[in-house]
Amino acid sequence: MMEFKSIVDALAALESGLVSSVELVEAALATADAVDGKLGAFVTRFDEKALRAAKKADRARSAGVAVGSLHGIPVGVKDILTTEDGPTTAQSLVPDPNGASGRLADATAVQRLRSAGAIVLGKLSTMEYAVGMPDPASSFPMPRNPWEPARWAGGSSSGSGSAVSVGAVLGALGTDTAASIRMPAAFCGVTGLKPTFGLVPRTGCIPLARTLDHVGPLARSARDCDLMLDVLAGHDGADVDSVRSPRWHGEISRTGRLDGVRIGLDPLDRYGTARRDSALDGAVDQAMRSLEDLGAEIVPVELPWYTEVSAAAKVILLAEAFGYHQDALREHWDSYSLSTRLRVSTGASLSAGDYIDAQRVRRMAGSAMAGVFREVDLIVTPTAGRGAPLIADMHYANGAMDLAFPLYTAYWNMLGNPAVSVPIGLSVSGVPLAMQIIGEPFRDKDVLTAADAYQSVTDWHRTLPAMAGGEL
Amino acid sequence: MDSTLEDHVREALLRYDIAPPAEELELAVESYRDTLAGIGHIREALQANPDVYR
Repeated sequence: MMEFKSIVDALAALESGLVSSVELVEAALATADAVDGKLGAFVTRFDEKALRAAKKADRARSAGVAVGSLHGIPVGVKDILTTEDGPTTAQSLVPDPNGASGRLADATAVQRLRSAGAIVLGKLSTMEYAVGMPDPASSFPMPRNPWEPARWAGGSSSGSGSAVSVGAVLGALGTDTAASIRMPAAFCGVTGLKPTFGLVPRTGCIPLARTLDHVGPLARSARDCDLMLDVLAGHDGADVDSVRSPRWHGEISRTGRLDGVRIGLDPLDRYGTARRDSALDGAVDQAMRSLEDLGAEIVPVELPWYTEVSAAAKVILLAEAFGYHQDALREHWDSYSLSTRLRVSTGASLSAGDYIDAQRVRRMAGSAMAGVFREVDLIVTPTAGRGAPLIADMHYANGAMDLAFPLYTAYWNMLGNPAVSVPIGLSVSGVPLAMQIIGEPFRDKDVLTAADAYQSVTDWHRTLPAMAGGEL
Repeated sequence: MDSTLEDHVREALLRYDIAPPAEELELAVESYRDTLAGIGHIREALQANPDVYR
């Protein structure tokens, strides 16, 4: 099994000669061999190519050639981003409407990881086109949770969350349109960053909803995510929303202190109250005490227009997803899974007025949120109201977007702010719970600084499922 | 099933030459009904703030 569960630890071992890239890749592949039959994390693996790349990385290191900040680190890619190694399925029998399925070229994010020296082990499982639901009838892997395989890994970056959790990869790419990096990160007990909208290019990513889609990292820790973000961020003219000169800058502060940082807490316990895990509020309280001990000041805030923004997120997602899939739905209706075709086709029933009203609410909330950030530096909310649900309890025959558990993430896709999900404890069922730390747009480093400080005094991100050998 | 909603969903899909089987149309109506509740919240919020040009 993989001995090093974090990128930071593995890089230190590589640099000191304690381990080679080949050994890291072999350990990651052995971990995948051992557990993936239960997890369904990988759709495709590139073992031979990965081992060749690892040998090349070791030769370069021996020759003193610095490849990049992820030199020799094994990573995985959600199977909705294209790679040169093999086809992209989007976990669907329906070919991508834009022709990405057979395109053997690296998405910009993948290319940037590879240029920094990362080694791509394989394509990781997702929900169909990042919007479907777990489907036992599907011919694709059922993404299961490493903490309890009867539970869902979360989605739609399902395999990215579970593979990082067990150490089958040390970092992974995910995408997030409403929750899809932060939910699997929360459910699998790892760290996941939805960067500021426009910071990481989406070129080579199959769209779900173009004004909500984000590409970002999942890894063990905030510091690992920071390493990946430094590689991933930057303008790409092929993505019309990619920001040319982002106002983001600086490094994460590694003082381990948060003195003078004002954090607004909205527990969102007025939403989905009956379905929240009874351990969640205590876990959030404990996390706030940890942040206070680090020097932060915690003040109450209320997210403006929360109900309306959440509703508007659904309208925009469905409308934009239908726009992308409308021709394919007509031609391949029966080849989409039931949940996917029902959810996406709901977009056909929405009017232009519905869509425009949803965008107006989005702008109202964005303006109001700027006011909130004049009072606080960061905001904290739970990521979800519960831990990972049992797959047997998930019934989505009507294609409803209601996941049967409260999810507090889509608000930030609408506003575009950076949000990192970090584990904060265990549910009454013994599976991970998480909070998200949110900052102003392009203050991704502030968000990661707070997450890193929190993780410097807590061990939840290092608490591993039994499948991965228990605690580090 | 609400025939008005059913007609709306069927006609909306037919505009794109999509004609799901009857049992799936029923499920599609339920999915749309679920979304309509949220659209109601959106409209209420906008109507409550008529003075803001956005």
